[in-house]
Order: sequence, then structure tokens, then C-alpha cells
Amino acid sequence: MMKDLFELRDEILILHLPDELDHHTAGEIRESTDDLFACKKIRDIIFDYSSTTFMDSSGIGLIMGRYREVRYLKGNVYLVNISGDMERILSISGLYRVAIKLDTIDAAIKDVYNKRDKRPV
Amino acid sequence: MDNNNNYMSVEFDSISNNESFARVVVAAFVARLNPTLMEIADIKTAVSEAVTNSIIHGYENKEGRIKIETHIVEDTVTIIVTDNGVGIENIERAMEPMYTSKPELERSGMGFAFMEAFMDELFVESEMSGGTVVTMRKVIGKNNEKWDEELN
Repeated sequence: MMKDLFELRDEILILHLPDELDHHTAGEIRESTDDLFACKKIRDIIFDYSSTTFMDSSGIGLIMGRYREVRYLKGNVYLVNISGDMERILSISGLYRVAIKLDTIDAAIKDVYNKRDKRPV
Repeated sequence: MDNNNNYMSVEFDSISNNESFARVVVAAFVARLNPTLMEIADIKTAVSEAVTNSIIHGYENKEGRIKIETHIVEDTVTIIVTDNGVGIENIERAMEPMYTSKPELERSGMGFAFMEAFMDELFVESEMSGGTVVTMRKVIGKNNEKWDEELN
């Protein structure tokens, strides 16, 4: 069920969120990402909402937690493929103050590279 | 028997796997009021928040039972989520947006704020070592009328 949840390329973690993102599934995702963060360098994260139809405050907590992790490396968190239902809860949550909303995964990847080019290494 | 009055009660173990069951069963029961998709989404989120609170805070991820009662009276849904957990020490503080007693568990502190935002009324009663009762109320179809009025 949690298969093919992640893609990692060029220090970008692409996370395909499940149908329902609650305390239960957020816990499973957090465990898997903790393992990834422990053994790989991750600078940016893209949360892909294309399959997601439900999210509650536990999902907000999951994204805020990952945001704190990538901020150490001055990376960003992206939210992509947001549907109407998800848009409502995301805007109420205030997550857009810290996460960048874009239409597609490709648009987010492009933005990562743009920002990395501008960033002094 | 009045078709517009209806009651349902369900009780289940305090495990995170039951969160989706809880919100789906309430949504299914409320469906006969012919709610909009948005109203159903609101109710599912609010139920999910209350049940998650009971699991994490009420029972602190230990064993316990959670009860959900749902009353429908005319077009009003009342949902009562009860646990017999540790209780909330300071309800006012717990209800402040962004406050969480468990930041280490990556709680966003938005649970009660979402319940308030998505339901019309929210009451929380709690007793230390006694448990917590969360009562939420929502009128179904209210916004539809409002939209109709705006359109006319």
C-alpha cells in the first residue's frame, strides 16, 4: 500500500501522498521519511497531492515537521496537484506561509533548480 | 416514526487505524440529510480531529474505548465524541490555535481550530482522570440557502 510512495532525485524528495492523510497514515509516512533523512541528503521536498482526497491537522503537522528538516539545508517544501477540498484546508492551516504551492511536480523541480542556481554554494 | 430524527452510536478501540472508520461511519449516517460534498468533508475532518485527540491525548496511545454518538434532529447534526482518558487540564489553552501539549509528536495544534472552523458549534467538557466529551453541531443545507439568497 505504501509502495512507490517516494522518489529521490538530485537531493529532491518527491512524496506521493496517500488517498487519506490522517494521524494514522502520517505516522507511517513519518517513519519512512525518518529512515530516508537518516541515510540520504535531502534538500527539498515535493508533496504530491494528486491522489489525496482527505487531510486533517495531522497532515499539517507532517508537512510542518518536514519543513523544519529541510530548512537546516535552506531547502524548500512544495505542495503540488492541490484539489479544491485540499485547497480549503491548506489555506485555513496557514501552511502557505512556509510551503510553496505550484501546479505540478515538474514546476516544483524547475523552481528547485532555479533557486539552487541563485544560491551561493 | 419521524424520519427527520435519528440517532446512531458506535464504540471502538482507541487505535489510529480506526480514525478513517470513525469519520466514514459518521459521514455515511449524515448522508441521508443530502449534504453537499463540502459539508461531508467538514464533518469528516471534525470527527477525525476529535477521535485523533482521544487516541493521542486522552489515552496517550494506550488502550481505551472511544464512543461516537450522532443525533440528527431536522437539519441539525450533533456529534458527541467521548473518551474515558486522562482529561484536559486547561481546555482554554488546548483550544488556542497552534498550541499543542505534544510538539514532539509533530502535532500541529490545529485540531480544535479545525473543529471550530468546520462545525457551527463546539463544546468541550473534560475532567482530569475522568475523560473528555467533545460535542459538535452543524446545520446541514444552511449554506445552500445562503447561496440561493445571494443569487436572487
